[in-house]
Amino acid sequence: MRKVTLTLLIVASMALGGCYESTDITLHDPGVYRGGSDPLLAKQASPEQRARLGERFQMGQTDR
Amino acid sequence: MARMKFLCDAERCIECNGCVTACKNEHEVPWGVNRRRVVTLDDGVPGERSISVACMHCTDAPCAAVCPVDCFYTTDDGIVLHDKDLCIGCGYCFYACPFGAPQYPQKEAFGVRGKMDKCTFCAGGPEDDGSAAEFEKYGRNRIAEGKLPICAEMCSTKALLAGDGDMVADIYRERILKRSTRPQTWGWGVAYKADS
Repeated sequence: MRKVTLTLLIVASMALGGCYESTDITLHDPGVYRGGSDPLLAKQASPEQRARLGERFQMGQTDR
Repeated sequence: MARMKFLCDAERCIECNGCVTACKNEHEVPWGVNRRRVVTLDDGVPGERSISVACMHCTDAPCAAVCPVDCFYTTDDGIVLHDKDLCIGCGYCFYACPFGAPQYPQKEAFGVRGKMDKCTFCAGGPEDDGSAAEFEKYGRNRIAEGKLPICAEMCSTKALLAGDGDMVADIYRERILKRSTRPQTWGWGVAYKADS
């Protein structure tokens, strides 16, 4: 009888423990990007890349 | 830092849809999705005007402001991009966008829209530059290759310009000065020439 009571207590405590729910609130921080990082961002910071795009524009899109 | 911008010169656009075709071909955009399209006002009436429209990469993008999962980001030179892994296809960005840029493949059952798709200024997305994953999700990354958007580079009349906003503005300003602020294709200048 004692063993059964002990087992029931353990099972009950484990079952109730499984129902635990975190009460921490996840606050929404609007406007903060949550996705993956884009390697292009680092590339665009280089002056060479900007110069290439500028040359490309002058080469292809200016009026002739 | 340059701010990348599109500009479509309505005086030059001849509604050839070359930009639309070039975009679809370059990025292998699926059926039902048009990242770019040509809108014509007063079609068939003298004085009709056409303009090529896609995502205008707004400085204060309303799509990013309303996104409930914050999947939008803006690069340092002003290109608005998004992460398709985060997108839940809610459609809020579509309602917020004044240009109707966000598109949905509508492949799934029960009206589920699928991941939002839009013009990337040919700058891909948050995947390794030039990778197969990036191409599949966002299309080709021409910016990483040092090229500009294919729609503008393919425009036969140079109506559609894409690049550093200051350089685009300089070209457009020169055109306006040459036109003397009036269209020269018809109107008084054509009907009543100075020597007649």
